[in-house]
Amino acid sequence: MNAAGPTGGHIVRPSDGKEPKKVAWIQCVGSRTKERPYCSRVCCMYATKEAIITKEHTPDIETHIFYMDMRAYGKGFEEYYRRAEEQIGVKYVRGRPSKVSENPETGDLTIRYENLDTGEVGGLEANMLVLACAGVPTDTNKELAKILGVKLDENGFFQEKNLPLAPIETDAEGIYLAGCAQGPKDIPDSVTQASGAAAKAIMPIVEARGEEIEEVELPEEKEVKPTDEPRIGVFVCRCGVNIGRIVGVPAVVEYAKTLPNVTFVNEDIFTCSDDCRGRIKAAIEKYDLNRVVVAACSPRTHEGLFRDTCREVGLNPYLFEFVNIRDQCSWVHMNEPEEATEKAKDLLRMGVARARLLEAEEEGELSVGPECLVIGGGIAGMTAALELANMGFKIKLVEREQELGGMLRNLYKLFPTETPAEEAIAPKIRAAYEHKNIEIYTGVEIKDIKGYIGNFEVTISKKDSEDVFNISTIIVATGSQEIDATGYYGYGEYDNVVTQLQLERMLKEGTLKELKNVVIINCVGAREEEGKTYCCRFGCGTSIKNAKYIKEMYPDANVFILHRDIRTVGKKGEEYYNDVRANGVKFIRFSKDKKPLVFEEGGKLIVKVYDGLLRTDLEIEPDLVVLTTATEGAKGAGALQKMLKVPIGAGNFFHEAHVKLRPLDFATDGIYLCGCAHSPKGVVDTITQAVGAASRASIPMGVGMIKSEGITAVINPEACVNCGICMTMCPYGAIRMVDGVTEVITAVCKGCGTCVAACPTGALEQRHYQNKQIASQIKNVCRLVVE
Amino acid sequence: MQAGGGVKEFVPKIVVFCCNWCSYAGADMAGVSRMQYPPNIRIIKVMCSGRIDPIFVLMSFMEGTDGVLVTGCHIGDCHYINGNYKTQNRFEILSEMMNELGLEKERLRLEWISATEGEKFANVVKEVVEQVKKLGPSPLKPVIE
Repeated sequence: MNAAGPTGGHIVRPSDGKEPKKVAWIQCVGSRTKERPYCSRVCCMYATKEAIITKEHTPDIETHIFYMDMRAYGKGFEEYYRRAEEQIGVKYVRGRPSKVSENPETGDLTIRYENLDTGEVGGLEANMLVLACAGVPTDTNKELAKILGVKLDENGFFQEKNLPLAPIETDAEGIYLAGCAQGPKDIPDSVTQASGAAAKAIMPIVEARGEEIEEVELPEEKEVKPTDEPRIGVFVCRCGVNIGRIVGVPAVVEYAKTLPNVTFVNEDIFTCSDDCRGRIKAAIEKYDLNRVVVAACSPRTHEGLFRDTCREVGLNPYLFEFVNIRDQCSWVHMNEPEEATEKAKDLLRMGVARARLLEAEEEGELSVGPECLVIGGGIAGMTAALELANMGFKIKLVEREQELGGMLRNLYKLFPTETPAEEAIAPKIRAAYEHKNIEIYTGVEIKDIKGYIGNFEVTISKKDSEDVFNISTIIVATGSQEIDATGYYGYGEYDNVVTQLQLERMLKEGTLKELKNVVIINCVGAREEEGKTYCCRFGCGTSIKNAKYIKEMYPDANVFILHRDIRTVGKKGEEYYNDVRANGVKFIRFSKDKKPLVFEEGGKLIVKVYDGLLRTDLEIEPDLVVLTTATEGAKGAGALQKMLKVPIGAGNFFHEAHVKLRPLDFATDGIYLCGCAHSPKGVVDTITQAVGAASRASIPMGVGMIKSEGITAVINPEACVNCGICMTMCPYGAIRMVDGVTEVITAVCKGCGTCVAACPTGALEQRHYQNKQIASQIKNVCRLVVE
Repeated sequence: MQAGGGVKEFVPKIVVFCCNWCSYAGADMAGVSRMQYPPNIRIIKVMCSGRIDPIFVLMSFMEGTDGVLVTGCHIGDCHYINGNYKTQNRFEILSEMMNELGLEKERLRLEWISATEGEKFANVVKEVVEQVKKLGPSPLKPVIE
């Protein structure tokens, strides 16, 4: 399916090169077995993605995925999985096929399986089969581990210093782990761990930070005057098949050639690739281009890259224009290739029109001091604060409760290592209080945050007093909470229905009375049709660990876990699950259409559940029902979001700049994100993210400045009548009047352009968003207009 | 011409103004989530919805577009503190002017769409396209063509 692959993105059978009509996937091939007990963590979503792309490529292909548990545990994964099943029509069959045989004449395959949801035994005929093989460690791990003097774990991945408390470090000082070296993981988790590893790696040499830096030498910028004839290079990207399968890229290219001032046009499979960017640079030089237009994915992810490409050969980055023909065209008009092609042409015409009028702009510099505000004093916030403090930055750590520690203060032991939660937080609390670079505020609320990177003004309140301070960067680590379970499975109605959090407290305090029958129900209020559609990621592990403790305390008790899928994806998680299952905890699967019932009959609490495997209703008389509920962002998250002006999504979790590429940043400079404020997660992932977020925040603080965009307002004094309307519009006080003359304080202007929209004489302009530039786009929506 | 013949189906063109921080990201989110919507819109990005000069809206109609959708961050979410309040004020005045200019009010719409609301973006576009299709080609169109 890779457009750069041997078949050019066309899916064909290896045996005869024919297009398959029916493709099957088998999951967990060679993993979750005796030999390799671990979960490879990425394959459920890979197979889902492959099945979706296969169906998008050829809509009438049938796709079947055989799986054991659908592990859609990450942010947005569950929704993706549901879209595959409900909207795209990917068929999911729970079960591990027992045998695959080939018809030697046709090359077709018969897959024998038992559907574990229905008990049905069958054989699926498919033209092609894809195996989701276990992710295994690299061959050279052994040798490398020997050279480095670090350990490998029993599966051959690099062994971290401590699960869950030190997942990035190794036993050897100065050697750190990132990505799949430590165990299978997906892109966001790899990027996160890599950021964390970078922070760890600088620590031993932190005092030398900023020394011996080799400046990148850029060629001098060539002068491009507004009066120069535009010479535009247009580069249209196919983005593999993402754009090219829908939008007729060759037609767009031909059309580009007809547009005024277009000197050079190129079509590429991946315009962002190194070699294509090399071609852009060569074309700028060869054809003396003074404007560059790229029609591709989205400026939100790739504008910076192409601006740099231009600058590397002396073209001012503001002479670059991005035309979005993927996120806002091919991906949203997948069934209308002709219309999508016409739209792409229109968008390109608008982009070229704007490009003709672009001008070189200069960027400003904002100084960024070494002070960071960390919001939230749980494991995430404390970890981030300590990392930064150890690098020499000054931290203000703010916690709304009276004590540091967050959610972990309520917990007993952690899955899957059984590390006491106290052991995770106590040393950090002590270290935070003792650290000379950390100032701790507990029992406080954040009242207001104004400003921007390098210059945030924060107001906090404690009882009757208020405190205001300035800060350069902010890390959001506000965590999450259990949802209110009232109304689910008799919670709030029957005394013996409790949540996992209540159970954790009982376990911690040793107040759990003797039990005979315990029923744990997972996914309570989670993975719903609407609202809390997401998976809580740690609930399966929590339920399994607590089931084990109950069983250990009361060996004669029957402990049932009613679940939809078991999602023990982290290191050692699957092994722990197998162990608990082997030791007598009973696992019963229910489907979203047949949820268990909890009711009282004759003074007795009863749980009724349909067991798909036995194809019968089971009735249990429990003396305790434990609900593993969905989680949601902490209660202050909404108010904080309004102050920070950053996006928040489903369940009140904050929305990062890019799910895969920038999982720890907000789109707004200087604000970062970690822990359960981002999405629900366990302690290993939280600590990794916290170190990663600290790493991200340390970059502008370490450099001491960032560039500000060349998009500020400018005044043409000849046209200005000094009416002062703009002054009332500016939210930053960036416009003042000196001796009756209006002027813009460029260093204070943030470049929103609202003053420009209000100026009655056209004296104000916004650089890079000039009236004539926007007008040129508008005029070219319906037809070619050249002025 | 699309409107005159009565043979060809009316294919409206609609300008959508998006702000950099919320609605443009919301439009991208619709793409990332593969939400499908009609291909009649052309997005123009500005940093803040407060940059959208009412003249840009009028110019869009003068140039022959059949509808205009102005979008920005939700009230209280503006990256530039309060730019969208100004957008709202300007929109209300513009909306009042529409009839005077010989245009139906329903051709102009304002919506707040956050970076996470890809589904809302797609739904709003569907509604706007539907609405404009009902109204038919912009009455200003024959004047300029």
